[in-house]
Amino acid sequence: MDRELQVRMFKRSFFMQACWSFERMQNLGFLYALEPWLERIYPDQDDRAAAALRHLEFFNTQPYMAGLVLGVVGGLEERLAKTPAAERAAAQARLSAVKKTLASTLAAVGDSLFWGALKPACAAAAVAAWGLFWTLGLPHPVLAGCGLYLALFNIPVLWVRWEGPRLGHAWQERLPAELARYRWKEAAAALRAAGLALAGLCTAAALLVPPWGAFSPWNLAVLAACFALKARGLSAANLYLGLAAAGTVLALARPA
Amino acid sequence: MGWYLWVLPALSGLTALLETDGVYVGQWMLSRPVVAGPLVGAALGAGFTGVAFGAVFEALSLEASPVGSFVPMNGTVGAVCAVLLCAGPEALPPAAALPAGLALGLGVSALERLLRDRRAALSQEAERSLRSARRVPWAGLLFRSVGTYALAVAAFIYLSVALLGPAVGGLWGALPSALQRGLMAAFDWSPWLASAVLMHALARGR
Repeated sequence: MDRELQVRMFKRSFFMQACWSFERMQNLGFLYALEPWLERIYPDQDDRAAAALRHLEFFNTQPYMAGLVLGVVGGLEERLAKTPAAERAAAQARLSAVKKTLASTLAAVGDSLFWGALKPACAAAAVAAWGLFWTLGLPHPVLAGCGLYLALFNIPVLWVRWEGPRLGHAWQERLPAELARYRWKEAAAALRAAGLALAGLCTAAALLVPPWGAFSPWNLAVLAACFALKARGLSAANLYLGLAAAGTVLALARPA
Repeated sequence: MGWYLWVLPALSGLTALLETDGVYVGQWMLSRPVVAGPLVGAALGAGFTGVAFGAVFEALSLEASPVGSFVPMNGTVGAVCAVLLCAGPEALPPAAALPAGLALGLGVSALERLLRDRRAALSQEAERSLRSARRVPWAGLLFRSVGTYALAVAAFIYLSVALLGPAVGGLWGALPSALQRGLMAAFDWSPWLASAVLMHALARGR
């Protein structure tokens, strides 16, 4: 894969979900990102249209991991273009099966790593930055928190999006084994641990030295109750409604 | 009048553009409540209000990722509407703006489901182009998909804040005192709710 193709696919990968629909999810976005590669593989217009039509099938994965699928699929398309006509139907079926399997496998990896670990860890970092900037009276606390959140999240994500097609093309069928070598499970666990330490530190500081008044056992009770109820599967929105109900009951019990 | 003619349309449009980042273009996280809430708050000179609502709505929508066909409560629209209701001319108390934002976040999700349903036609259009040996009109398809969504979200925010603001303000004044105090207590406790949700998400993993 040369740099020009990588740049074109990288730019188009930002529109992976632009035409998202319930029926075929990311199919149009995937075809849009793959199109520059198909143009190279199939100089003939009819061959290219036939390949593009095959990629209008259902497709869905974690958007940041789509680049890896693009790389593998591009490689398989290169091989398919050189396959004798008699064997082409079987090769097309295999390509479609590999694409679907990879999409669901990589969706699980991406959901766990980016949505389950990196996103909450970055939120904890932003809260810590706000707390620090406001406590110390440093300038531009809003920009500091938001900027830190965006930088911490986007640096690894942009790397995955940039390198994804190249790595997918190089790894092909070895992709699951090669991906395991990056120790993404350990990375996700480390991110969650770091985020938890930061969130715990900020919460403890706000509980013990609250900027809005003295320590209150009520706050500690609310924190512990919310954590316990969350662990039992209650949604955050329901927890909020529960807090409003509890507050109303307390207000009725202790009229102003 | 400047609020309804200039400030609210501009902030509704800005939020709608940021919100397209959530699913449709980029996913750079510009659309997260923890970013959009504080930015809109800072634009109104209420940075702390923006941070407070941004952090709470981030927690409320943290575990509900838009995975597959699931369309969760839109925390970004919820946070921004809460900030606009609170820091705008209606100056709603934060305790009233928070549940209003929650309801609007749920409302815009229903709108998004409707738009996603209609978008299947774009695949059919691409298929027709390819079958008739024409190039797929990508610019038109992308612009229609993303543009329709952005316009719908901008209109939703503008109308919700413009129409709902005075209504929620009137409703708040008519609420029984115990319910008002209950909602105020829930708002005061919301940082602890947000902390608990964040720590649970990090402790549990996926």
